Amino acid sequence: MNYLLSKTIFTIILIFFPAILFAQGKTEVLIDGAKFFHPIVEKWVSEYKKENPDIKIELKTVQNKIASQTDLQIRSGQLSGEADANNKIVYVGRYALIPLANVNNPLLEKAGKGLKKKDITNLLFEKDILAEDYDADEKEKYTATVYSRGDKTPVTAVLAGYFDQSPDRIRGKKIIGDEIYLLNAIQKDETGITFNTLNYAFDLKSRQLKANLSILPLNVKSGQKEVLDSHDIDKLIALLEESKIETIPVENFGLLVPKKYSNNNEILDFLEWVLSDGQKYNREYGFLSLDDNVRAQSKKQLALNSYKPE
Amino acid sequence: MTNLFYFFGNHKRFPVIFLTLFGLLIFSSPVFAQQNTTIRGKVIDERTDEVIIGANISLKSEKGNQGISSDTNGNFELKVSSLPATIVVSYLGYRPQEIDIYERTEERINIPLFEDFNLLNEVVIVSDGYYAQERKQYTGASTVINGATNANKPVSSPLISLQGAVSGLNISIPSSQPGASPDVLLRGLGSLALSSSPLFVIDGMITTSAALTALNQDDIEDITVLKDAAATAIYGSRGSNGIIIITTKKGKAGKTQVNFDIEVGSTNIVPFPDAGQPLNAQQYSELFIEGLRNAGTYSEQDIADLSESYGFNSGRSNNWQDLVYKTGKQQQYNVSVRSGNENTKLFVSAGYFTQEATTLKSDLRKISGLINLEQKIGKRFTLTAGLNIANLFQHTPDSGTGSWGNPIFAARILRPFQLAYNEDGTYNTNSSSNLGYVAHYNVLFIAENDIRSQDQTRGRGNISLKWNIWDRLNYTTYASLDYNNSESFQFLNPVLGGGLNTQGSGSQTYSRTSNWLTRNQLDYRYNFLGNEDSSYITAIVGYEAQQSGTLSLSGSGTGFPLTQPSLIVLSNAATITGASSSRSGYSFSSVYSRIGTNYKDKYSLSGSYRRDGSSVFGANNRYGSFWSVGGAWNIDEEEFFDKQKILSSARFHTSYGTTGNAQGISNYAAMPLSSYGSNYTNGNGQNYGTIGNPDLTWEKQKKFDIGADFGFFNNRLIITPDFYVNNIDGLIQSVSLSRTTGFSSVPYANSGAMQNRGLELTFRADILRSKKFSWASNFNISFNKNEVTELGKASGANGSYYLDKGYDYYTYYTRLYAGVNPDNGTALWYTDGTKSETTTDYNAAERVPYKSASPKYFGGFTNTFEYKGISLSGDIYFNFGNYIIDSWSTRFYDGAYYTFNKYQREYWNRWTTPGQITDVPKYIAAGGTQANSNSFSSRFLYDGSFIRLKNVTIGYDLIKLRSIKHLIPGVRKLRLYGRATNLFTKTFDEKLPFDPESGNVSIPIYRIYTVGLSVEL
Repeated sequence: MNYLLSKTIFTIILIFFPAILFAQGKTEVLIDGAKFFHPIVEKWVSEYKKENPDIKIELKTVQNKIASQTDLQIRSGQLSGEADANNKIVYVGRYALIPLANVNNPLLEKAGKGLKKKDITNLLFEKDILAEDYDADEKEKYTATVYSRGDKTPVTAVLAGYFDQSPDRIRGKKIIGDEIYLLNAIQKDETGITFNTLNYAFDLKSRQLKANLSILPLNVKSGQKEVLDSHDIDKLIALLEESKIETIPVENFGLLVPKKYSNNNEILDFLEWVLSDGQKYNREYGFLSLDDNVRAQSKKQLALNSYKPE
Repeated sequence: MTNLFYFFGNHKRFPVIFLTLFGLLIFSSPVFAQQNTTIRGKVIDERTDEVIIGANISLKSEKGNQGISSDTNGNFELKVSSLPATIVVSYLGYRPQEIDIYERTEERINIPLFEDFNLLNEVVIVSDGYYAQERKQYTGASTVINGATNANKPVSSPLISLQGAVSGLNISIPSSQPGASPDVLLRGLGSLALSSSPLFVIDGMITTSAALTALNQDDIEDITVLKDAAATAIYGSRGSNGIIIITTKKGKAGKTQVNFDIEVGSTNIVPFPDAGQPLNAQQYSELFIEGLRNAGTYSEQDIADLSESYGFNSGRSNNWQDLVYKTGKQQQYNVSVRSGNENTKLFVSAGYFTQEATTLKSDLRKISGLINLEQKIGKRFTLTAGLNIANLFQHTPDSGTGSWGNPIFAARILRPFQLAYNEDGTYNTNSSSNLGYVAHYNVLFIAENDIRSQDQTRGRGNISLKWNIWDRLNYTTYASLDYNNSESFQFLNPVLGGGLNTQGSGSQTYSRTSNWLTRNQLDYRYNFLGNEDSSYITAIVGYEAQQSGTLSLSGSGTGFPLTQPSLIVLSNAATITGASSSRSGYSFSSVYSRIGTNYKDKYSLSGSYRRDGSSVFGANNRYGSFWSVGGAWNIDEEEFFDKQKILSSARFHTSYGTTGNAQGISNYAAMPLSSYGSNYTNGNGQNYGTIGNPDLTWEKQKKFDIGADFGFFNNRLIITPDFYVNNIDGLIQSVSLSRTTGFSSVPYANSGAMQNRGLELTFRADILRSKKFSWASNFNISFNKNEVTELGKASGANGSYYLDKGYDYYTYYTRLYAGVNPDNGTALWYTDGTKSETTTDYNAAERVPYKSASPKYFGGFTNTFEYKGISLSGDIYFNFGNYIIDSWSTRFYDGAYYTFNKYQREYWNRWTTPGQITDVPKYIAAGGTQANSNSFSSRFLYDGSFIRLKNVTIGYDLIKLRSIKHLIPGVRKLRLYGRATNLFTKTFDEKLPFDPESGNVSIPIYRIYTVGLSVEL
C-alpha cells in the first residue's frame, strides 16, 4: 500500500470512528453516583441486558462526572427537594448504614447494654461542649475517633440528617476517598468508629463481616442482638427489612430521571424491570429491597410520567 | 505496526513519537493521577463558621515539612505526591485535624477546626525585653495583656485601660485631664521619697510613663507586666517597682491587612454625689443668714444689709456647676497597614485623637504615627527599625487652689449669687463688691482669656541588627533614642485673676529631653537532648548604656497691652521678669546576664545577674549588683498527675532576688550643691545649699514570690494565685542633721525599711461556648499589706500621715471626731484613741494613727458575651478599704468660711435644734465659738471603696450579614460598635462629696459615649 493511501485511510478511520459506533444504534446512557452503588447498578444492567439483548441503549456507570455530563444520577436520602418539573425520582432500593468499630476498640466492652440513638448522637457530634467537659464519666464512656468523609458527600449528609444534625458537625477525622477507605481507617486505628454501607462492611462472598471489624454494640431487643452478633449479612438485611432499628439508618436510593428521558421507553423499561425483577439482586449485593409502598409509588411515577415534585 | 511505521514515514522519528504518545497515555491515566494530586480545601472555625486565615496544612509523613498556610479566604491547595497520605491542619488555639487521603478528589473540602477550650494552650510569650520565652517555661510572675483587648478604648493613655486588668497593678486616676498619666503602683508602695512607679519599656527602650501617653493605644501588640525577682532582676537597679513592657505592632507575612477605625462621641458630666452637691441660691442664703444669726454679733439690720449686698434679694443667681462643666467632644481616627513576606515585614499607622474633658479648657489633641520594619538580610542577619512620632497639644485649666482660678474648685466655692454674666451678657469682672469677685475669680472669664497650653512632640526611634552567628548563637546590637520637645505657654490676662496686679503676665518654657540607650547582647541556646525542643539551656550576656539629658529654657514677663488681647508672647511684655535655663542629665552603664534551663517542659530554672553603674549616686556606692534565682515546676507533665481527675493542669513557680530603685531621684542627689545668684555688690555670690552624701545608693528590694496556675475542667477555668513578700531596705529619705553642720538635713540618705506582702488571685474562665452563645470571664483581686519595718528617724507626724514602725505608710494621723453635742450643737472630739472621753477643745484631743489611704484590696472583673455575632463586654473595677482625705473640707463644712458655697450635706445635717443627733455642728458665720469645728479630723476621712463599671461595649460585625458581604467584597471586617465608659459607680460612704478617685480640685471623671466603626481590608 502506498504511503498516501495508507495515510488517508488512517485519517478517515480516525474521523469516523465515533460515527461507526453510533451507527450500531446504541446510545450511551451514563449513570453516576456514589461508588458503592455501582456494583448493584452494574448487576442490574448486565442482567437486564441478558434478558433484553435487543436493548438499544448502552447503560454505563461512570465516576466523578459533573452532573451535566451524566444522564441518570443515583441519589439517596431525602430526594423530594430535587424532584421538580425537570427531574423525576424513581426509587430503586434501600441501603443501611451500620455503625462499625475496630475489633479492638475499648468502646465495645464499655458499651454495656449497647448504645442508644442518643449515645450515638453524642458520639458523632460535638453536641454540648459543656457536657463533654464537666461530665467526666460520660466523656470517658464515649472516647472514640469518628471517621467520616467530607460533609458534602451523600453518606455523611444522610447520616447527619438521620441524627437531626448538620453534616459539618460530625466530629473526628475526615478522610478523602471512597467510603470503602473508612474501613481502612478504622482497621488501622483501634479507637476508630465509622458508619458504612453493608456492601462495603461485609464480604459479599463469605457473607460475613470483613476482618478486624465489629458492629458497635447497640441497645436492641435480644433477638435483634443475636442477628447483629452473628455478623451475617443476610440475617441482618432480613432484620432491617422487617423492623426498624433506631441506631441503624436505612435510606432509599433512586435514580434521578431528567425530563428529556420522559419518553425514552428504553430507560423507562429498564427502570420498570429494576423495580420488579431487579429487586431480587439487592440482597445479594448488600442492599435492602424497596418497601412495598415506595415501590408502588415509584411504579406509579414511571407510569404517570409526571415531573412534579412528589 | 509496520503500516503505522510507514504512516509516520520516518524510521528515525518513530521512537520519539512513540514515547511521546506513550507518555501522554501514562500521564492521562487515572492511576498516575492518583499518585500526584492536589488537595483543595477551606479551613473554617467550627463554631463561628468564620474562615481561618494562616492555618497550617502539612503532610504528616514528611518530617520537617513546613507545609503551607490557608489564604485570606481560608482556602489552600496542597500538592500530594503519593497516596494514601495524611494531611494535618492546625492553627493556634484549635485542635489539630488529621485528614487521610486515599483517593484523588476534585471537590473542595471544608475542614472545620474545633477551638481548643484550653486557656493554657494559648502560647503566651513572655518577653522581658532581653529574652522571650513561652509562659510554661518562664520562672517569673508576669501578666501579658493582648493589645487588642484595649484597642480603640477612648482614653488618652494606654495605662488607663490597664486599670483592673492586671492583678497587683493598682492604677488610680486622680485627674481626668486628657493626656495626664495615672498613678501606677505594682505590688504596693515601693518608695517613700522617690517614685514608686514601675519602669516602662517600649520596644526595648527604657523610658517613662509620659512616653506612653504619646503612644497610640491601637498600635500596641501587647503589654507585659513583670512582677517578681525572676522577672525584674534583669533590670537591676530599676526593677524594684516592677516593669511594664510595651511591644508595638510589627508587620506580618501574608496578605496586606489594612485597618481603619473611626470612633466619635462625647464626654459627659458625672454629677457629684448628692452629699457633695453645692447649695442652690435659696439654700445658700438661708444658711448664710442662719450663720449670721447664730454668730450673735449681727443685728437684724446688719443681716438685712449683708443680704442686700450679697444679692440675696436680687432675684438673680446661677449654678456654677452648670457653667463650668459641659459636654465635650471625643473622637479618634486610626489607620494602619500591616504587610510583609518572609524577608520584609512592615507596619505603618497613623492616628488622630482628640478629647475634651467636661471641664472648661481641658483638652488634648494627639497626632501619632508609627513605622516598624523588619528586614532579613541574607540567611543570618535581621534588621529591625521602628519610629514613633507623636504630637500632643493640650490645654489645662488653672490647677491651683490658692487663687481659685481653678474652675473645678471655683465651681464648688463660688456663691450662686456671684453671677458669671452681667445683665448685658458681658462677663462679670467686678472685683470690688460682694456681687463680684473680691477674693475669687470669674473662672469663665479666666478660662476664655488665660492660656495654659503645652505643645509636645515626641519621637522614639530604635534600630537593631541581629546576627545569627552559628546555630543558635545570636548577637544583637540595639540602639534607641527617645527625644521629647515640650513647649509650655502660660498667659494670665490683665483684667481679672492672677494677671490683674501685673497688667497681665506670661511665661514660656521650652524643654528638650534626649534619652538614648544602646545594648549589645549575645544569646545562646543549646538543646541538650538532641532535637527535643523542650530541654535546653539558654544563656544571655550583654552590655547596656543609657544617657538622658534635659535642657530647659524659660522666660517670663509682665505688663501686656490691655487693648491688644492677642499680643501675648513675651516680646510684647513691658517688663521681662525672668529668664533662666538649666541642664541636667544622668547615665547608666550596665552588664547583665541570664541563664536558664528547661527539662522536658517539667522543670525550669533561671538565674540572672546585673551590675549597674549610675551617675546619680555617690562615688562610694556608684555600682551595685542585683541577682535573682527562679524555678518552675509543671507538675501536669508528670506521669502521676493523670491519676487525679480534679485538676487539668498545675504549675508552680517561685523566685527570690534583689532589685533596686532610684527612680525620681534628683540627678545630682549625692553631690554637695551650691547655687549662684546670691549677689553681693553686683558680684555673683555662691551659696552652698545642699550637703552631699557620697554613700548614697539604691533602695534595695529583696523579693520573694511563690505562685501557681491551676487548671480545672479541661483548663477552661484557670486559677492563678501568687503570694509575695518584698522587703525594701535603704529607703531614700531626708534625714535631719545637727544644725552645727550648717545644714538642717541630708535630703537624700539611705535610711529606713519597709515591707509589702500580698496575695494576688486571678480567675480566667471560658464559661460557655456554643455556636450561638459564648461567655468568657476574667476576675482578679489583689491584697497588699504595707508596713514600715524600720524608720531610720523619729516617729511621728508626716503631714496627714503617721510614720512609725509597724504601720502602713499611709496611715492617717488625726484627731478622732466624736460628733456633735445634741444639746448645743458644738463639735466634740475624743481626747485619745481609747474613745472614752470627749472634749470640745480641738487642741486638747490627741492625734492618733487611724485608718489608711492604702486600699486593702482591689481588682477587676471582665465579662465578654457573644450571641449570634453580637458581642457585649463589660469591665468592672473595684477598690476597697482605703480612706480618702477631704483636704478642703474646711471650706465646705461649717461656718468658718461662710462666704463660700457649701456641701449639700452641711445644709441637710447641720445642728439646729436641741436634742438633734447629727455629726454636723451648729452653723456659725465666721466660726465664732466653733472656730475649730471644721479643723481636720476623722470627720473628713471617707471610706473610699467603690465599684465602677468602667467600660461597656456592644458591637456587631456587619460583614456577617451576607447581603453586606456581597455588597462590599474585599472587606473582611465591618464592625459597628457603641461604647460607654464610667457608666456607673457605686460608693459606700454616704458622706462622700466627690468621686472617690477625682477629689474636688482636679479634673473630675467623666462618662464617654462613643460609636465606632472598624473596617478591615
